[in-house]
Amino acid sequence: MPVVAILVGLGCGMLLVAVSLGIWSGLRGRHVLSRGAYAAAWGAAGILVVGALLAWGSGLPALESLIGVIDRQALEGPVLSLILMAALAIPLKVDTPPRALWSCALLYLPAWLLALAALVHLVTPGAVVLRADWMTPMRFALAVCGGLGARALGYMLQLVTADIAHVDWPGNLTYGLTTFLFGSAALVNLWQRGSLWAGVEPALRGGIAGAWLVWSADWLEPRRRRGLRAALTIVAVLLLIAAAITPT
Amino acid sequence: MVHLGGLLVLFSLLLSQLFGWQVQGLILQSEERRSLPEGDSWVALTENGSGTRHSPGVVAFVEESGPGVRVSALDGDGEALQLLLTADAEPRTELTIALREDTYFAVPEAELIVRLMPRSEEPYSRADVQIYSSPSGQEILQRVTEQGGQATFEVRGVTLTFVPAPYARVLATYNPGRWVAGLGIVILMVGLGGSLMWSGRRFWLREVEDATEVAGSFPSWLQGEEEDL
Repeated sequence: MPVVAILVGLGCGMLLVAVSLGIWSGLRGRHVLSRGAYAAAWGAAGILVVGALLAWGSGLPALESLIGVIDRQALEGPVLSLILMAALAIPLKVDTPPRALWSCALLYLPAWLLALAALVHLVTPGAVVLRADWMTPMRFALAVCGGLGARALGYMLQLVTADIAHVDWPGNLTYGLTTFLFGSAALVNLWQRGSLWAGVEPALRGGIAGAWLVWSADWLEPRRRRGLRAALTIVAVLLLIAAAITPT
Repeated sequence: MVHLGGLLVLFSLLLSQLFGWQVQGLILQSEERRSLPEGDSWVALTENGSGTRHSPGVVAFVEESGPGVRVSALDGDGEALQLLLTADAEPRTELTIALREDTYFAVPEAELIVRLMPRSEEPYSRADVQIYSSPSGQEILQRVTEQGGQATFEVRGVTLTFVPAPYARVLATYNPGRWVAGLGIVILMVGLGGSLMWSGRRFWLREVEDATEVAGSFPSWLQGEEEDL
């Protein structure tokens, strides 16, 4: 069985353990279980990062000879983006108050869902879309922003359900990175082709612009309106993830 | 700055929607000038076919390039023969063909059909040539051209000459809001980056009996004044 599929399966399993331990720690009120969840998530992050490197590296000419020794299957299509997003969506620093230990499970939930979707794609016969044009800088940037956005989504779910002090930086980082990366791409497009969106498929165009506009609305909202901010963040992240995995 | 950048981008979109235009899928070969929708705008390939020339204000982008040939045919007396690219096309003594796929053309006066098959998508690749008799369809000749499609064949007293003429598929755009959009995006990115990295600080002051208590991220440059309080 291909190495990447094994790694993604392991990562998905460890994330499920992390989610389960998180919920169990809340039911039992035992901090040691939430630390176990934290360790499982760290392990899953490491495994998924290696899986993402192998998956993306298999299509790069400079790394083909090296990656080919480990895994001969060259992957293409949405599964590449899903693996990278799952790896980036796992939070590495978690401070959960004792009154809401169970809520740490919500931090790992988006990453687990992304890893599960990647695993389903890998093991389903014929589901891997062989598109030779998937490995582009735009697709990689979208996957990075989608992964960080999924991490922000986990924090937002924790904020809404357990009323915990909000961690701003994942959302700010995603918003800033999205603005910088796609603003730069728009400048290059303006220079080369004379218009902002020439050469970009409509699905990508709609997803990126929609996510950025919704996130801008979230950034302009006052902090006290948590419910609305949470809804806007969820919509923005889902648009980004949808744009990252939509074939064109 | 962020709001100004956003407004500039929106304004540029309005300008391009009202006064701009875009032409997609223009096929250019040799140095022929193609007219564009607005006024005296035009676009053409450079002499070596690697880039484009265009009128001021137009942005031309080469999306795809590939092999192409210019074909002419002479009879035994040196007279140019008419060539037909399709059954309902106007006869011409010279055809310029972009070899994006297998292409046929006819030499009706010599009862010949010629098939051209590019060997690759490179602009100066070779092409396979098959010449058939019409209407019997019997193959008379099968050859390969030189690099770029250069070749000369003599068939039944007819001299067919192929000259390289690589094609380019070009996107031509006229966008009066281009520089406004660029400026708006730069201002927006700088403003947003600044406000994300240096977000506003919050601190609280509370007066107690003989002093003032401070909580939050109190700026250091105010600390001297705070001691006075």
